[in-house]
Amino acid sequence: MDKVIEVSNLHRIYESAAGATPALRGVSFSVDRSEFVAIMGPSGSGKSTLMNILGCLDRPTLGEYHLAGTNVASLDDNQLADLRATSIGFVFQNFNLLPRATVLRNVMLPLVYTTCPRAEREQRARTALRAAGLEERFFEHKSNEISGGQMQRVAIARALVNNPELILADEPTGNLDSATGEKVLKTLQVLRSQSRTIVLITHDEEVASHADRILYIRDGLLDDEKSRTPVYIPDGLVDDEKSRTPVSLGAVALPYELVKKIKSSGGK
Amino acid sequence: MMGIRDLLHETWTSILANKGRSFLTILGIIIGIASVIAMTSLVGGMRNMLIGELGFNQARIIQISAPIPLNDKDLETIQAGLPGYEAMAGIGFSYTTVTTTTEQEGYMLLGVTQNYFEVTDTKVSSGRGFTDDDLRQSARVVIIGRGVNHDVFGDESAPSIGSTLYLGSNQEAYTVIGIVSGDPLTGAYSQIYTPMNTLQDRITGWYGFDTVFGLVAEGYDIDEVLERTISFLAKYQGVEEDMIFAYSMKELIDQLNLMMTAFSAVLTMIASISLFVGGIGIMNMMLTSVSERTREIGLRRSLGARTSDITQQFLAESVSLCLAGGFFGLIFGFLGALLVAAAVGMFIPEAQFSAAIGIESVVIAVIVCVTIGLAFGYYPARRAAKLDPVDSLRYQ
Ligand SMILES: Nc1ncnc2c1ncn2[C@@H]1O[C@H](COP(=O)(O)OP(=O)(O)OP(=O)(O)O)[C@@H](O)[C@H]1O
Ligand SMILES: [Mg+2]
Repeated sequence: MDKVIEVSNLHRIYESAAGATPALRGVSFSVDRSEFVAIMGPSGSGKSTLMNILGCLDRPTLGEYHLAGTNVASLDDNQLADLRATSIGFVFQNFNLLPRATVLRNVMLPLVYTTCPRAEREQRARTALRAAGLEERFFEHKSNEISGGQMQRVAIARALVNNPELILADEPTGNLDSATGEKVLKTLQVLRSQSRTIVLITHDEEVASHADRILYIRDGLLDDEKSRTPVYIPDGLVDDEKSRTPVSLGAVALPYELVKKIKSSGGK
Repeated sequence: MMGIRDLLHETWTSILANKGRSFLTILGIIIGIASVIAMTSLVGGMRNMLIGELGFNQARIIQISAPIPLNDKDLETIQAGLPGYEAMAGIGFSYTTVTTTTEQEGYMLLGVTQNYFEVTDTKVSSGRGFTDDDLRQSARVVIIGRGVNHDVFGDESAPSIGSTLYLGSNQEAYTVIGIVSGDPLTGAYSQIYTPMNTLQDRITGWYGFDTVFGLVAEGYDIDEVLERTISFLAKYQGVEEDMIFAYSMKELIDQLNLMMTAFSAVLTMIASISLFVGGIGIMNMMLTSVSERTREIGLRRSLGARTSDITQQFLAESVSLCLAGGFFGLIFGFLGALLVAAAVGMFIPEAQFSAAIGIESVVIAVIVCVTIGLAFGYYPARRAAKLDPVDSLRYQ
């Protein structure tokens, strides 16, 4: 199987004046090409930490990450930057557009850091914008003169424009109302159907349910029991699986294996 | 990796985005460069007027007078026995009157050897110099200074060549064959030149040079040649060394140069302070810009910018700002210098003073600006590049 992401035993410990915070404590999973995976979990569970590592913005303290077959640990900072330029597209909660630049220029921006010839850039940006579902008449607008939903479409187009192996979206609907968010998520689903690989990060069940697969993360560990393949539920129907209350394990940093043992032994 | 055209484009857009602030920031650079340029152009112009107009060879000339007047043969002997001279020209001094229809005016009359103008780098600006024939035939020809031309013919333009000048109490007719350029400050301005033989045969009846101009050959030390000349001539004429009178313009010119250089240095130092303050202004603005654009930096990093791309982007910005300042500074500096020169010309019309606007000033300004841009932009640029991409993306 063609795997875009393969991580094994990923750890990330933040060292700060307040002490060491283990944000990831041994995460292993893989994502296939043209899969749409949601990573879900409560606040502080390590979702963004994981995304930064998947996006090659940060390095794991321990563990391995292969992106489309490349062992990321073996790359130096410049190679990582080049990898981001060619293989990864980010979509942020707060869009992160250059406000004074036009929509087109925003989408062309990543190509500046690639070998894409100048003459081709605008065409590629237009193609990406169409794929992200933005109407043509907004292409020349300043990016601070369009609505939030449109901004996120521009951001998705920007993530698409370099034809990346992987699109990473961290709470892409967090700043949008639910109707607009829904449209953006539908766009991501369309992209997935066009063989894009998407990893979506969210704390919202409803948002996560748009994915092919949900990985549930909690206290820096994947919870295999809660990770599942969602059945897409049309509005109005309640899914009992989704409604259950997660078991809180507190913030004690115990190895997952140990936690499992405690749980299986019934707490004796 | 970002290409150079993209880099320039990014720089241009970001400077334009902050037009007002950018302009205020480069004011210091503008003022600094403008004053450096204005000052160097003026000092250069002054130097040109004082030294350049004297002739380029002046610094290499040794003026010699011996108790027994030297003649052509002596010059040959001296040059044969005394290495270090490229050429020697002799002159005889006299005085003459020029009679016009309205008045009689007295002038210095110089009898010169054929190579005099070349050796002393005195420029015959129109007409021609003396020929060997002029000397052999003691021809009645003269070359006159601009001042003489002006006094006698009223007009400084060429038609006076070929005109007749009536010299001396006999009012003998001489043909004007050339006009010597030269400022009112120089002697040439109000002198009349005639071939040495003409002076000897037709005017004074006295033979021998009053003064000899020796042009020291390239590669010889002027002071050393001077000393050798004195001892050689003393022996040659059998007199005491202190009877030989020889001196060079080098010392005078050196002193003049030194004065000008010191003057420039003081002015440049004052301008440097302004440039330094300007540089600090640039650094301050760049630091502000880095913290304002932290999110943008994080975004660019996430889009694949290398740290070197970020460094380059901010360095390009500060260098461009400084260059823009330098550009305006050059324009204002040159305008200022031209203005001062025009004012000098208005108050002292005879002084041929013009600002020395040279390509060197432009080169120096560009080098200075790039250096300031790099020096004061480096710290902010490094700071921008060192930002952690994750932290800067979260920066509020
Ligand atoms: N730079 C940092 N330095 C120290 N600790 C950090 C840093 N970034 C995150 N953490 C800690 O790591 C843990 C995981 O943080 P992370 O941002 O990954 O959570 P999250 O799942 O994205 O939360 P949210 O849903 O609120 O965005 C938290 O306990 C957080 O306090
Ligand atoms: Mg987060």
